[in-house]
Amino acid sequence: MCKFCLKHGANGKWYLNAKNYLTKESEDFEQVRDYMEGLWGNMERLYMAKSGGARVSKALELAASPVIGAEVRKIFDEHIEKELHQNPDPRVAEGHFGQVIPLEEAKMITMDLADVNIKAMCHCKYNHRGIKQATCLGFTAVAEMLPKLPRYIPEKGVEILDADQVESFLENMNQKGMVHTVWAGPIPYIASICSCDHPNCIGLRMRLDFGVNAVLKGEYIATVDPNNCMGCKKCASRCQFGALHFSSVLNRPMIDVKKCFGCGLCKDSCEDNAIKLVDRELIPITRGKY
Amino acid sequence: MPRKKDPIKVDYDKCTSPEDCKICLNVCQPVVLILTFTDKDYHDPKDWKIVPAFPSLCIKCNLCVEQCPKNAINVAVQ
Repeated sequence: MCKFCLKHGANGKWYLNAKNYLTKESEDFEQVRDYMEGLWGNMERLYMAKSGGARVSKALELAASPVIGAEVRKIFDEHIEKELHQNPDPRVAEGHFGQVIPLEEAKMITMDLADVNIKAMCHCKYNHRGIKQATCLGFTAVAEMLPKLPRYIPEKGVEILDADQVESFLENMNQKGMVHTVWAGPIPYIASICSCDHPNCIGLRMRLDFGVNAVLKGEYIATVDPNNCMGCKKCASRCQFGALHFSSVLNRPMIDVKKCFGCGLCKDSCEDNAIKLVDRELIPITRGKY
Repeated sequence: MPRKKDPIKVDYDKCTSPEDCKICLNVCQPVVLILTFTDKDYHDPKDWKIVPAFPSLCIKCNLCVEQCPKNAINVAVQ
């Protein structure tokens, strides 16, 4: 389990702990709502924002440098890990990080744990290319502040999804090859479920291109059962993390467990049940590596 | 390896309406170029600019230079 699970998970995964889902009655509600408004309202300028005198985009490039990279990444980690009681600064997305989850858990969260599911425009895709795509599902605090930020409301207007709509929405995103991620905002509360796409997701971009842990790996690892695989190659186009490639000699996919984020997209495309997700902790070399 | 300070330069006098064009955004393979806010106003993409946000990822393929209809981009090759 990741370090946030140990702290906020109540012996389970932090994102499956009902305590981490905000309700309107919660005493932190107003503080979290204001935080979310600051976060979403300033997200377009995140790369260009200045934090400690340096632009975030420049700091990211330094984080990938071999000499001082480790120190810069440590500073980023401190920012990302700020909790609600430490008053995180929403304008530079302190206390806002994500974790990759498989489709089943995304459904579990949206249907059983979150009390409101509001459809929202993705601010990452907007930030990178100026395009608007409604690929995010916000929970209580997002639903409360979203009407104040009309640019994130889909064309049809504010849309609260019911259980069936949420299910088909998530399956649609999965079919398109988007990675499901759950986002903290701020820790320990869970703000939204997004459908992410490298490199137009700020979090995945930070993680994959610059090694900053803005998105944690999921709690699972994909494994292949060679006996079931028929060699259809459908999984080969699904991996965004460079962890899976199709070997024509073995006639089955090869998965690099060190790169696997456990998103389950390859598994969801498999019609022969040849790919399964196993717990990350069960494989010694991936244990504790998030 | 010494790195030039700004290897990618966008001439904003020539690149006036990036929101309608976006050719360089689509050809850039490692997505170095992004369309993002300017200091003036960050709510309206009409006012945004093409910004070479991550020059360290650039592979110097020069596709953006060749395909820019207004010759607004310049990439320095060391």
